[in-house]
Amino acid sequence: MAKLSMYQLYQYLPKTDCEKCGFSCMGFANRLISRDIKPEDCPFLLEPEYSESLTELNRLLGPEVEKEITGLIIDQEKCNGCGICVTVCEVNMEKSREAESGRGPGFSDDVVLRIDNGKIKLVDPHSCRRANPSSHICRACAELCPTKAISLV
Amino acid sequence: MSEILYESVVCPSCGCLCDDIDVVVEENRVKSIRNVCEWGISKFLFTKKFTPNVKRGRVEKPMIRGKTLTETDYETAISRAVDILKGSKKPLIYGLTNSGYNAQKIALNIARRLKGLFEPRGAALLSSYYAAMGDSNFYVAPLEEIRNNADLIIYWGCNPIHSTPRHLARYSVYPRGRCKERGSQDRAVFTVDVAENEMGKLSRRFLQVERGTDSLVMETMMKLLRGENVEDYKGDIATIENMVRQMTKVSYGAIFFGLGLSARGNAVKNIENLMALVKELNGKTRFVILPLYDDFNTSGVIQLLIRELKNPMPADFSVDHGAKNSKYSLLENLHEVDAALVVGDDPFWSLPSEKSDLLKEIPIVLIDPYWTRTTNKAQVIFPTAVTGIEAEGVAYRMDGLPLKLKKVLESEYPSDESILGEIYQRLHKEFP
Repeated sequence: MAKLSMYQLYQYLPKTDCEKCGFSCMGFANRLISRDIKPEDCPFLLEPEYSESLTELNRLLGPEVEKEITGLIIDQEKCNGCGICVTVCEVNMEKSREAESGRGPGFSDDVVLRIDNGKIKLVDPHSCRRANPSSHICRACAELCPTKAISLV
Repeated sequence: MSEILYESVVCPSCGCLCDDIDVVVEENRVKSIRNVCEWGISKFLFTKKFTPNVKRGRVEKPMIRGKTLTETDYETAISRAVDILKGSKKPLIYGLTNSGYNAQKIALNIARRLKGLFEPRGAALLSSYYAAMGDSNFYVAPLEEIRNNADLIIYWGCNPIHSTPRHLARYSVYPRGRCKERGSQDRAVFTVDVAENEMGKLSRRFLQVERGTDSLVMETMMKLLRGENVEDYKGDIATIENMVRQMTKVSYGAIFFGLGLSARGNAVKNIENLMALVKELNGKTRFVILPLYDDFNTSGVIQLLIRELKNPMPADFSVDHGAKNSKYSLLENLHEVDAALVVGDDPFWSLPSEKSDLLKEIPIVLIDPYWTRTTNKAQVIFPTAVTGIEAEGVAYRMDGLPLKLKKVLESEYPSDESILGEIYQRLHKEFP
């Protein structure tokens, strides 16, 4: 999935800035990207003349993508299970000595990311550094992913 | 039926032989696997490489070709295979890179008894590498030492993301080592390849070379190391100069090369030049060189040849007990071959057409778990258990470390080792 831009979504919005949803249209587009709201929250988009725009917005945002509390969006199709994200994750390193030296985490280790059935899986999103708003924003797994299977909202 | 957990299973997919795979088996089927890459899971689920949803067709019964392929039993198929092999003047034993070490050893003994040719898959590149290693006094390092010490990793003519997916995360760039506590921040990665790929984005320097000019780039690097004039080189000289400058500054470097160096039949010259470059670099700092295998036991078959014949070249037992062969690949003698025993490989897919066309005219005995292009041409087909999943074995990692492959699933099929052993016993009885 290509990374979405705010302007890309904005062109499908009514551009009236009515603020019935609580935001301007640009603000609405911004919150669509972060998956805080859904396209159906705009009352104009539910009208028949905007039905094509609504369909296109839902296609762009992807029905299967759900915003995790970490903001990580994992595209299972692109992942090849190389395990770079598991190795570079700082929390994984603290929780599993094996992950520090490149080995996969042990079966009972309580880690954040793990390769499960050949694909990356977010096992414990609450332990991820990105789930804690006071800590600094960590981007290691998404930046180093060679197949761009991990993106951040 | 209860679940069985197998911990630290060795993955029989690529030359990395990852030994941290946890497999959960229920009712003799793999239920879930942890720490395995996409290729590994394709192997465990018997599906196509990198596509775990598409099942590979398995050969279910031994088959003999008359006018058409007909199912038979193992006894009849072995008799037919022995008849083909003993009636041959110069058989070829080919493949073997996806078999255990003991199966490879029996196949070598069959070649010795039949005075045939013994050629592992992809021998041209690897034999020339091991021969050059034998002639030089280079330092050989296990992958763990590269992980602990290396501060420069060079991938030349290979894309580890596709050929050995967990190599970057387990052994080379990203893991934290004893002397490299910050992992990838303490290391640099260079990639040399004919086309920009995913590695180009992960590497600090990416050098794009034209197809077939790798040896010229190596020569240019050597000239730069010696301080000679390189004005006649027409390529991207600025990147090469930058790379060479950084290569001399590091304390420990590792070069991994792949099958890209064997393109256009330049394998021997490329390896000679690469070894000369490593020799030149070792005069200034410490550099190690290792091949990246995409079959799990390619290293094992070369170790076997070195152990048995003191020579990493493919063996030609028709002359002088096989030990004196100096050719890096015997496939140029394919027109002399009058029968073939192929183990765990698909030569009609992997060999160029001018060579595989010669194989069409001779009888082939095939030992392989799956339907391939070669099964369409073979006279006798033996289905087998998959080594490392349904049968035990020993495999050698890319740095030469032997590892024991576990059996996690029960199988109705015999292992390739037992089929080769039976063929060898029958040949031994008939040629005492």
